[in-house]
Amino acid sequence: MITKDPGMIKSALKNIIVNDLSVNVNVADIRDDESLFDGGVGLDSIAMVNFIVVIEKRFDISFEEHEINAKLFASINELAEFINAKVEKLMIQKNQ
Amino acid sequence: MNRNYFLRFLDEARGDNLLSDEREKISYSDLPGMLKGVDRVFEENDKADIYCVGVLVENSLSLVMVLLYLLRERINFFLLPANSPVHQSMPFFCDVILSFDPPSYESTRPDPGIRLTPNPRFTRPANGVSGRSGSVFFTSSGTSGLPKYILFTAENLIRNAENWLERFGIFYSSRVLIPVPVGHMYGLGVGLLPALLKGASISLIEKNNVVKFFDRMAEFAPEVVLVTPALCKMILLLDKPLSKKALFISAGEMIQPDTLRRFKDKYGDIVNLYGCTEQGAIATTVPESLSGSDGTDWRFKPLENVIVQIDGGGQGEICCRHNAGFEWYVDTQGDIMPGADSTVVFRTKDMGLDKGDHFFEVLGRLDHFVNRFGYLVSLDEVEKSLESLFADISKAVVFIGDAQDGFTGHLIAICELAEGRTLTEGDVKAICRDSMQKYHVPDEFHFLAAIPKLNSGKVDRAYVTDYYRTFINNKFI
Repeated sequence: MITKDPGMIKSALKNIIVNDLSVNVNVADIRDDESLFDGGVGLDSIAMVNFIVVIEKRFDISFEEHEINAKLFASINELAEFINAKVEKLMIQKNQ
Repeated sequence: MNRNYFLRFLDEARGDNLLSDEREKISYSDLPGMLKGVDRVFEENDKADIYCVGVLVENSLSLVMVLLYLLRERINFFLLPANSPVHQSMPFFCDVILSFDPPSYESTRPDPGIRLTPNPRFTRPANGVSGRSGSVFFTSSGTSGLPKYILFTAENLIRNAENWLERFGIFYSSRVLIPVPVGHMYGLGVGLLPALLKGASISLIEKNNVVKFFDRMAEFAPEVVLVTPALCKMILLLDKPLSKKALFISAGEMIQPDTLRRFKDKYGDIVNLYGCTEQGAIATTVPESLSGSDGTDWRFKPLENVIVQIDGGGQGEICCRHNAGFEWYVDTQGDIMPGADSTVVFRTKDMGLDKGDHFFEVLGRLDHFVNRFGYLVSLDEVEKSLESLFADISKAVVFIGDAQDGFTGHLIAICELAEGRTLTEGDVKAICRDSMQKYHVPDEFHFLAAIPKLNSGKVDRAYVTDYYRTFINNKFI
């Protein structure tokens, strides 16, 4: 999946949380600005690993070591913005 | 260590090294002022009358300050691990419960952000330690029977930490990352206290996950990192490089050699720690940087001041004589339980193998071994065989049934099935007979949709044996 529509990315991320990680939450209940772990969606450690692995596969991107940080995974908003930028960069590289 | 020693340690804590958690950073030179803030809260709550403080543990700087304060003042305290239900888990012998303000609270140091509330269930022990005796209570990691608590003296807790320093030499210049709970002996005795005693830089992570872990590894660049086998596996699964290698200490179940090798190649030296709450750290494997070995050595070497003996010679129960072990077990009322004498050799209930030259190997829990047809059988090994042989078995728990007429070592396997899968006892037994040694094949199989886990992540073995007992009782009604 290569898309650079932020709305679609957010929706895809929420679907991953609900369907791939089997988190007991509805897509509609996940707010764009809430934390993905502490006090928010509540992804546990194993779910976080799976989340990263699935994102890399679905969006055909790779997180660098320094990119795996608490600020980036603070919310769907932050993450979608980051993925959007990565995908855009990828598309430019492919078109060159 | 006495009160004067500790006061001196705090007085000398003037360095610029930082202590950090997910909310804030302070330097060692801030500590004396902050301890005054903690003291104000205690003075307002009749400090002199407190018998034992039940501390709701979190990995935060506020907790560090509280621990230092309680140790310095020799106030008894109990560490309640995070996520434990307070009202069910707080023992009767705690008269005061100490909690921390939530993360949303805007900290204005030196306000320590702590609250003291009375424990409505408190009863003063009839046969317990006295107040202000510098006693530290931990939850026992036992999985069955009535709850009991492990009592350390503050002095032995510090001595225990010093043993660790002698093995791995944390220095003033060291940077120590602690993503494991400091309410347990591992995080406290191997991570927090040794690092504090040396005035090293410390970073704490609360409710660790891989994102927080990688974040802090990059930002803090630690030299020593405490991990669990589960975290190691998750780090390997993510398969990301780290810009700086570190020494990783792992406790809990043993990390298998192939995992150990892959981890070491990618992230740095890693050692397995062997210990328990009653004794703290007992032994470690030796890292490549110190031993010159290939870094996947399974052998444990006891820490200085700790003597390990294998009962009966070559193979038997691991026994330990520790210079800084626990003092007593106490019950939920705080009364000292008879029978436990910390001055004699401590029996770990683990099976070990003497490897010579003071090295030993840990084979598993003693009650996980049984003699069958003249062979010593490890139940852990049988469980692993079943899980690897059958893709449809997600978890197997094997235990020894009550001795029945005509034979001993009757093995029962309770298996958790993968979602939507079914198996029959006959089919499973037939495959086992073809693929496993005769003495490894369980006599009975039972299949469950799910086997509950404890808060520690370990399988609830008490549930499994209760399930079997109920099954047997119903069968003969």
